[in-house]
Amino acid sequence: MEALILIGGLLFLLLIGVPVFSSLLLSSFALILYKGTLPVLILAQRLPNTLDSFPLLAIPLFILAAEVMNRSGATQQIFRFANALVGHITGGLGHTNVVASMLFSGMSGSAVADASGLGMIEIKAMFDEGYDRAFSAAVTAASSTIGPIIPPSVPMVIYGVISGASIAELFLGGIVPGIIMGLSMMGLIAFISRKRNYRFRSQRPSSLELFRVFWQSLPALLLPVIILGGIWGGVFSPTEAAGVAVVYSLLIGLVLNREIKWRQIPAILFAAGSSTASIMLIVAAAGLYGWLISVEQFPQALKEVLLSVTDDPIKLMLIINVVLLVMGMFMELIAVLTIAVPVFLPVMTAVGIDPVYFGVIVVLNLMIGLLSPPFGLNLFIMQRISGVKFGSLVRELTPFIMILLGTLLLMVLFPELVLFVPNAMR
Amino acid sequence: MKHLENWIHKLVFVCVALLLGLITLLVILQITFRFVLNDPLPWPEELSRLLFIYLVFIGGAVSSRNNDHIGIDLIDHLVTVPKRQAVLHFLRLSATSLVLVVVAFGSLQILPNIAGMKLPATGLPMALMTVPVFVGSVLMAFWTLIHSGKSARIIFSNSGPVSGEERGEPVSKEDPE
Repeated sequence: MEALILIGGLLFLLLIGVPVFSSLLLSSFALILYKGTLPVLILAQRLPNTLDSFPLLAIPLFILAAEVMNRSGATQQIFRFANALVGHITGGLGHTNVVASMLFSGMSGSAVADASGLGMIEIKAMFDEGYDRAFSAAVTAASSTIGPIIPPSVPMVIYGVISGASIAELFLGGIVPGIIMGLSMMGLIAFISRKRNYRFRSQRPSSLELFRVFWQSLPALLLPVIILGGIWGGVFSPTEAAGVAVVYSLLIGLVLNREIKWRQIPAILFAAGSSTASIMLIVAAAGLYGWLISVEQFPQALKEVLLSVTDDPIKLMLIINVVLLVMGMFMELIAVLTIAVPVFLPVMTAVGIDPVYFGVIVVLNLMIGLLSPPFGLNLFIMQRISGVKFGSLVRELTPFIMILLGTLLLMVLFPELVLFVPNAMR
Repeated sequence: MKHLENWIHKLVFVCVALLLGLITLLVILQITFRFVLNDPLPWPEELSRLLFIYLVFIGGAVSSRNNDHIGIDLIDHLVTVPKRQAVLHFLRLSATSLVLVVVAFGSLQILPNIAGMKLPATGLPMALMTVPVFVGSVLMAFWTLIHSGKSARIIFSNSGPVSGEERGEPVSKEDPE
């Protein structure tokens, strides 16, 4: 009965469109009322506890840095540089779209921010050049999922806080999978473009022209180098790196590009602060929900069931990945992360799986959820931005989802691909 | 009423911008002390964590005002009759306001239990961690009740076209002056 109230109640509320944070709170409240042994004030008590963590502060700061970059003209410069680099390959802007997302993801940590910020520029450029609208929307939605895999990454910060795994190592663990995702998407775009005879491509720039565009976007391109170099070298913690990213992006916007005026700063702070709040409210509510799940001893029960089925790490990884994929199709990313990690992590550590490796796999898995019908959030964002019909967007996205599933399977079968970089730092 | 709504939104705008600005400055201050002066300070970290709780709960009021809390809107594509949409929207808003009121009362109940306790590094009262939960849930409940009032008006009126906002679509989010 407890499980029905907590899990069934949550799914029902989400389905009728109650916001994620209040669905989590309501189903927790219902359980507390049903059991009658816990005081109602526990609801208000657990909420701030989850947020009281210094590593989580990296999230508002990375969101702020991305907001500043978007308004400083740096995002356009990155797009132009990506286009100079790969725009002349068959499928031109499709490749530019992926490469720009890979470069931009070195600054922003959220797929949703990427889909709605850089995504706007990418999709407009593809429309203007005459690409099929559904295809353009699909490429943009798919490429935005690279953002949270290549560091920095909002979901990885949240995973690190819940699991206790090192956020710096999680960031480094995302590098190789992110590059594999990007390259395989580019392969797919080239294949589709050749098959459909998309002839649009830009002229190959001269070396001088390429250098000029590179030089213009160099300040923006250096930001990921500073962030990653600082974390890799153990100079900054991820939160401190986020603070440095804010200062650096402000320097670009205020001094170098002069696209931002001082009087715009309050509005930028407000925009970043309110989007942080809407994500973190879910984290706070999911913290309470996850705590109730563990009080009810669901993780222990699940661990026994799973270990009685098999204790082979790869088989367990496959089972858990299928469960996560299904959860990701129906629920919001941050909520799945905060609820599923405390439930599955004990099983994973019991069979000797590295928490850093598991974290990268979970985030990659949930990125697929962002694109999957019926509830993938990026689908809805892309549909809103592009005006493409839901059905045709899903049809165009299907090969990209297959590519991502292939990448996920590769990581499950060869953990070294994820752990190679963090191990080099350990 | 419109006057009060504008006033509250402006206040929230100022709070959110100030809070995030302060958090950023505190993190930078900490980096400076650790690197340049080689002397890490304990209080900026604790203070920034505290301000973060304020940022999240007060900032949450912005999503409540704009009606764009993260959620799954698939059902809105299936239910197309405006009046039915309004009923659905009213139900969601009522559920949300109910739980927000419960949280607000819960946070008031905690206060006597933690009276006199202090945070370790700054020495500030621990009650300051609960205050934002109360303020935030009251603010979010305020906006949620305003929106449910609008949907209720549609459900019980018989005439006139229905605006998107009344059916639960996000409202425009221009910044206040």
